[in-house]
Amino acid sequence: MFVDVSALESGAVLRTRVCVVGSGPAGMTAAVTLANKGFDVVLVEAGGRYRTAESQAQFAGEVIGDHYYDLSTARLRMFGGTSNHWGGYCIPLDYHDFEPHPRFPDTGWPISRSDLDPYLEPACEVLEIPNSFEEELVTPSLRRTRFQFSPPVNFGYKYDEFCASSDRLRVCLNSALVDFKLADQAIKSAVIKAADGREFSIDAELFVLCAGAIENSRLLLWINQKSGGRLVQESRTLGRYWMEHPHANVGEFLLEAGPEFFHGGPPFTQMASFSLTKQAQYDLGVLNADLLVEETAYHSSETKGLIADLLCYAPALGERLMGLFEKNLVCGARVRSHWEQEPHFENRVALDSTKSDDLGIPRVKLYWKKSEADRRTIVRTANEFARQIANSELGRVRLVGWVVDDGPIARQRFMGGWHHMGGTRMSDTPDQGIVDRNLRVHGTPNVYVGGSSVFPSGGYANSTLTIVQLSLRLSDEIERRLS
Amino acid sequence: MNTMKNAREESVGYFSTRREFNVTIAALLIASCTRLPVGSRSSSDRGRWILNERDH
Repeated sequence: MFVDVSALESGAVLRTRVCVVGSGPAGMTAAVTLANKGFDVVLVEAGGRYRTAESQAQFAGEVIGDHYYDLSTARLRMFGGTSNHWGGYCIPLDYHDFEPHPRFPDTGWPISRSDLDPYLEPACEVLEIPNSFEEELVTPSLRRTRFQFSPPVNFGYKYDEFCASSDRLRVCLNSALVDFKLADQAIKSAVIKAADGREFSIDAELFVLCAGAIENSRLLLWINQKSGGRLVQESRTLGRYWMEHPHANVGEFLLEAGPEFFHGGPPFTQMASFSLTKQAQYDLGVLNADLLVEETAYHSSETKGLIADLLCYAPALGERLMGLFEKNLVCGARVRSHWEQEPHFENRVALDSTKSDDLGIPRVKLYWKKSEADRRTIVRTANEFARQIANSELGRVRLVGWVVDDGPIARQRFMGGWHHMGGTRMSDTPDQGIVDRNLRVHGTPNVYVGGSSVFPSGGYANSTLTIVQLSLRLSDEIERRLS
Repeated sequence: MNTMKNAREESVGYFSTRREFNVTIAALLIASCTRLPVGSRSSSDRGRWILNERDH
């Protein structure tokens, strides 16, 4: 049911078994799954049912480093969280994304993909996609797999009726976490501030923080600071190793095959994704990256133009393709990439001691810069992709200047995917991360963290599918704890 | 429920608002109409074809 927060008296106490903070894909999945398992859950969401300028303004912050989106629009503070502007791209992380890369010491997870595999099918059901991510080798070093497109699921809309009718799940909107009260080492209650400034609290056995991969760090940094470091006892990595998936357009593509080569299935429900094999990545000293071939808005006149241009460089090939074009066998397309960013200690979420939001919580300062390894990853991957495509006679790629010239990454209109990761990374030891392999905060017995802030490495896969897998796994862990 | 659905239609796919979506579509349309003829772009814009040894 939805709690009428405006009717709660100041100082009111709600008692439950599990308190979940945040109603996006991570929090909503955990809350609904736990309620379905029979546990009493209170879900608190800082925003309201709809997006408002006032609510979004609480997310404003400063970005230091590379050009990045306005932080007040790069995530959504409302029921359903950031799923309200999700594009629906789904693909699981690769098996080797979980392994430490030999060239990058801070990569790798304490768990393997096989720990998440049992949750792939149920996560696909949540996201309303088929569990179909078969991989094939196009050449010995180039793989092709596919994205599946969720409708996309909006978690607020999908679970609205469940939230309204459930007697296990209580939802408090316009209710922002501002503090945790500790008793000994454990959290006794969450202090919640309503939109009108009144405070109430939620007493629970377990708390799950799923506020997003900037807010998770910001809230923990703030509450830890107020508690004198009692909440996160080893906080060296708190807020650190923040990551995105940098995006770039890297070239244009003439295929001798038809568009089914890059659709991977029916258009707008699937899209082929090309990436180098693990061994090729290791040999080139690069992280994971995908190349998406998009026919969208690229039609016959532009394809003809590409072939005409190619005629200058390779007359024989150009003439052959011109002949194929008449038979409608040649397609023109654009190639774009989004890729894995090196986890870097200096990329971080920090508190701005000079500015606060309306709740009195310091605003965020996001330090984010792409490294030389990040630049090298896209340059080498795109060049290798183009060579493999040409050598296997699948088509020809014209790479953009900065890629062929091994230059700095050109400024992009879409410089990232709003894929926020890291800050509370998963680790086996508290000096290397904030949560353990079961997502519990090291040293604090009853606080868990959900969402992509726990990712130690980001691969190139869009985060939502993995976020849902992790929340389903976390729900099983909490069930074991409480049963 | 209907009110909620209407309000949610303010956001479109990747875009935070319908206005942002419309502006992006308009920009793409303008860009496609003003594309320079092949051959007149600078070499850095043109990039380079990656060919195999049989192409020449």
